[in-house]
Amino acid sequence: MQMDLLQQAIAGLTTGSIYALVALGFSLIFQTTSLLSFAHPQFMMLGGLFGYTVLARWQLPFEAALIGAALFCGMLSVVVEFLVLRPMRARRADENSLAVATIGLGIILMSAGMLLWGPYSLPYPQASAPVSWRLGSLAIDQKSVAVWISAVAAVAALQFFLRHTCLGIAMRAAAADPTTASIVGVPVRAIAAFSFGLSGALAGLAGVLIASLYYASFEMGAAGLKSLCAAVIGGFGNLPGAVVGGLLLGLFEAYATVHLSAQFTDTLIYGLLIVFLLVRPQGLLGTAQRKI
Amino acid sequence: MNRVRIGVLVIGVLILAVLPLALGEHFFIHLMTNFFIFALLTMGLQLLIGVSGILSLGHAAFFGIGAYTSALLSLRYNAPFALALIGGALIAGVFGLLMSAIIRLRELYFAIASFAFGIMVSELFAQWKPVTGGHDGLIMIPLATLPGLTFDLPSKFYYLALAFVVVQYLLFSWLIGGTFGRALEAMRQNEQAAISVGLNLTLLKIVVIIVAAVSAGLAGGLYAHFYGSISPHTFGWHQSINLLTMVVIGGGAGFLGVFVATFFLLFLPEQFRGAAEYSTLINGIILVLFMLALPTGISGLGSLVRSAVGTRGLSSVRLARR
Repeated sequence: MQMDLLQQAIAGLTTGSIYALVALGFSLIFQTTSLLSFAHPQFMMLGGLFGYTVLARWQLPFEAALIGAALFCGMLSVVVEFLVLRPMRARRADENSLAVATIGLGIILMSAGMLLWGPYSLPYPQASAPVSWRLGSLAIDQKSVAVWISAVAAVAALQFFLRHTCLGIAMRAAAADPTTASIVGVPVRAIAAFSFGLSGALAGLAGVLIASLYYASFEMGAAGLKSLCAAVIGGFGNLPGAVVGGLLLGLFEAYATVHLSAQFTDTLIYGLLIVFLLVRPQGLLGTAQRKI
Repeated sequence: MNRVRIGVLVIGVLILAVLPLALGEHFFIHLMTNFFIFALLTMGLQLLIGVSGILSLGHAAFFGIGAYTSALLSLRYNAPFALALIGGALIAGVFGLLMSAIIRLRELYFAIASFAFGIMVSELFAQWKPVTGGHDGLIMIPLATLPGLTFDLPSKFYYLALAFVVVQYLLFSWLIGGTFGRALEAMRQNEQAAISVGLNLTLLKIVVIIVAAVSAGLAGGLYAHFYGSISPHTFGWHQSINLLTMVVIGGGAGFLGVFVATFFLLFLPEQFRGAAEYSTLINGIILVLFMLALPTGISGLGSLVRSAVGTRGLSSVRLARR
């Protein structure tokens, strides 16, 4: 029983770290632009599919797929921001209209994924037989470890970037107070585009990781949308909160699937989001906000 | 309402009323009844989005709650049609009340919550097999009957649905035309100013959300008893997007604009095979293009046409004129 729980915790932390990467993107975009992007999970989907092309068509190593998908989705995300969201924000469109535009964008991106890669699930090619290590009766497979290492490295790199680089500090300044930041010379609009790129890159990375566990498919975005729950649980717009929320969501999902009810897991996850918004809208790590 | 509009409406309703007499049990009558049910839905969504500036991304969930509740009341408890319909609307309203608690937060949070609610409810319909029948849904839902009346032919149900549309349209117009409507308009244009003149915005929003939920619940009850069978995919995320697209296209021209948009988005996929296949993509493209093109965004939909027609178009001027 105890081992059972531990085994589920391992599975939960694996998917949880992927949720965390996508949730970080949701929160990063929200912090710098006050925008809820429903298109964001579709970059995870495109990352997974692009990773398939890198691995299966171009026969490059896994690291190349990770970096390639991150670059591809990052750039695409910047393009989308530039073409659609920037003109809207320049007109001071309200946040509801922006959210609706991202819903449309999400649908277009999903259709693009289906048209370019087809409607079938695409499992990644296996270089060798799957390796797993045993710790007592506990099994830890290589893929999960690869996911953990990649996720931790990505979060550490993001943390370093935001704390210790000029651009990262400017980004935090723009998030905290765009007006003041622009007065002291922070290029707020460029920062917004950059945060989209960064979020897209994180989502692309997450897409390759989740596809390495299961498969790549144009419908993967639905799984990425669950990260919105992770972001809300941790506190929407709160970056450490996104990581904590992602991991907790992964653990909850793994536990609920086995011990509560497999078919109601998604219902429970979205129910959890609503409960959090009703009871603790600032999330686990957030502080109480003004009512606006 | 001015005289011209009343005239147009009366003539429109009269034409719709004689249509079944002219066509008989034509398939078009069936399609029109479906359109009436969707018109009830998009009217409610327009009240939320276009009139009040509340973005709801889970409208199909309230539709589904009404449909499943009324179907279950009829199937399991042999409730008469009227009672089943009211029961469905009531339960939808209760969920609307529950969700409306989130509107006191930032606007965007309601969008997130309504999105999550929509997915949660459609998942529940699909998975709760013993009650909802799972993916297969519910079948053999009894015919709609009222004392002395059985709506066994599409042309009969057509009149019932038409009556609901007319009544709801008059009700909503009355609601928006009066003091309540002016309060909504003030809220949509400038929340701070509306608060400063003593409006309780939270209460206003709660009322609007509940009204929209009840109307969607009624539409659901009608839908279930018209088709005799329901399944979860009718009430999912795609349907919410569908309804949203209808409101985005037509909302600028008020409820009548929404009717026209609803009509075309329902009928185009029926006419062209290709359109049905790509309907989701078409919705996505429409949403992006409209958001790029509309100067005021979605919450300004209601006043777009009025300001285009008016000489000044300034909202403050319009308010003062009243």
